[in-house]
Amino acid sequence: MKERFDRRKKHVERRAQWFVMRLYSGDMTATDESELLGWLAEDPDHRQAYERLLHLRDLSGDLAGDKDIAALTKGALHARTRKRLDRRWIGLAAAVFLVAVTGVVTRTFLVSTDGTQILETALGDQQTFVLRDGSSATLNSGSRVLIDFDSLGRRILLDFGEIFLAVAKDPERTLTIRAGDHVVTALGTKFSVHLSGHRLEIAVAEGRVAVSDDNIRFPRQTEFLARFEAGSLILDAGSVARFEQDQQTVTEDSIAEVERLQSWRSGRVRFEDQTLMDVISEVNRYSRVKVLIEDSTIADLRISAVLNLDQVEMTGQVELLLSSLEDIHPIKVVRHPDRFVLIADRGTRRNRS
Amino acid sequence: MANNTSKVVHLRRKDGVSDALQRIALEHEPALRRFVGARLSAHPDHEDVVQETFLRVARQENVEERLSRSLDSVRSYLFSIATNIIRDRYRKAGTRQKYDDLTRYRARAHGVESSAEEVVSAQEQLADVKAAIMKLSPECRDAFVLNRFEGLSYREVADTMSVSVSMVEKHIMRALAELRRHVDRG
Repeated sequence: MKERFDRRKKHVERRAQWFVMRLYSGDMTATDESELLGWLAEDPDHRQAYERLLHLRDLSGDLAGDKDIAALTKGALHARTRKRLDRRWIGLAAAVFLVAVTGVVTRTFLVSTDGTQILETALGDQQTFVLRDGSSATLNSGSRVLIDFDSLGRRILLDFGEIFLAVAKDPERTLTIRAGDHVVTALGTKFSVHLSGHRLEIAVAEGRVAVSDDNIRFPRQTEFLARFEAGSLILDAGSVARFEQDQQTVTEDSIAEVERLQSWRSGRVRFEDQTLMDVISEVNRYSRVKVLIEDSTIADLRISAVLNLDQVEMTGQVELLLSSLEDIHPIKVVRHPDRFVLIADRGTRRNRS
Repeated sequence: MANNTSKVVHLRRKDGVSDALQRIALEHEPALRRFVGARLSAHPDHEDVVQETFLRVARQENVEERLSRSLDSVRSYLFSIATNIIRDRYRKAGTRQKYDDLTRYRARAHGVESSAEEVVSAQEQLADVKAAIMKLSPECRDAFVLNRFEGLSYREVADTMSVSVSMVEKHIMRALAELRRHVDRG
């Protein structure tokens, strides 16, 4: 009895921790919010555990002026810098497998690239690579890139898939990414490039990048700046550019859109008011078990949902998302061992009796 | 429940900051409203807190510099201001011993928590919180202090520590669990 009580209590505590952590993540969705409010209303114990954690977290803020805490904080910033330097040093000796982290899907490798190297990820997998110049590259599910760094420049070829880059500044060597027919040139900045068939999507989170459709390379920044205006498209932070065949669309000042497009980096993909068709093609990027839309009448339904990325249980996560769609929308999921098929639910369940 | 009609906050400043503020309000207002909603659970003060957060930001000295940082960190910054506003209100209500809405609401949530001993025990609690932080494992502690005291978003913490965001999230949950265990049972 006692044991069961403790187990329940522990479970409540964990849920509370999760909600408080999510609350401060800044990317709570409407679904998260209603889940939280529902959970709080379920049981006074839930509310108490949640409020208690918020209270303690709030209270810790009063330690901001505390000498020991200030020292710890400085130490945390400093220790990390040192550790990164150490890592780079190790990297010079050899390409070393560094950390295998987390229940989700991210691993951190350190890449020592003398000459060229291929990085790739399997379906449902995500990996972060610390490159030799200190930049970090995160590959999304099912992607392949070729890294080619030398004294003249830093070149990356995106063969297929999606890459997020946090680029280290190097005035002597600009960093370029080739994707399909386009070349993206970056200064110190954070952005992602997604190539899928002939469709290219670039989302800039920080700094700015230039996109050109020819193959000019700018080895030095001065040269780059001089030719900056010459025919290339400049994207500032918050911009999303899409290229498809001859079509080109640029959305500016859309931080929210950039965040959504890069949400896969935090282990979940968010969909906000997108067509079912778009949602499913995105889901299929992560899942071995594919989802098919059998009925064109449902393809344009507007969907908001979240897909959690979990390499071990990806099929389970897809199923979870689909069954939540089933609840809200007139959709029926037909489950096969190797695929999920979506059809319109025309009240068949009600009429069956 | 939560008021979802997006009311645009009107902010005026003569020095040209208002554009930046307007942009920030547009970008972050839904997230801020959701955050405050989840902290106050549809309490009537909800809308006030959202408005006051933007007003406080507008009054900051270094507002332009603050708002030019990355998205994540601007959002973290807004959330910590909103947290302070909520705390200020709660504190004032507590010292006046007035059972206004917020106090009553809070008291219901915490059980007995507005008594005279509360002021004393808050000091003790703070010492306990500090001890709990000091005892965290180094990785977990770094993640927590960088987020809480340096104001870094989870993503920035992840980038600083060269680990994944989900790892940082685990550290944060662990830190919260340890605060709770240490202060309430230890």
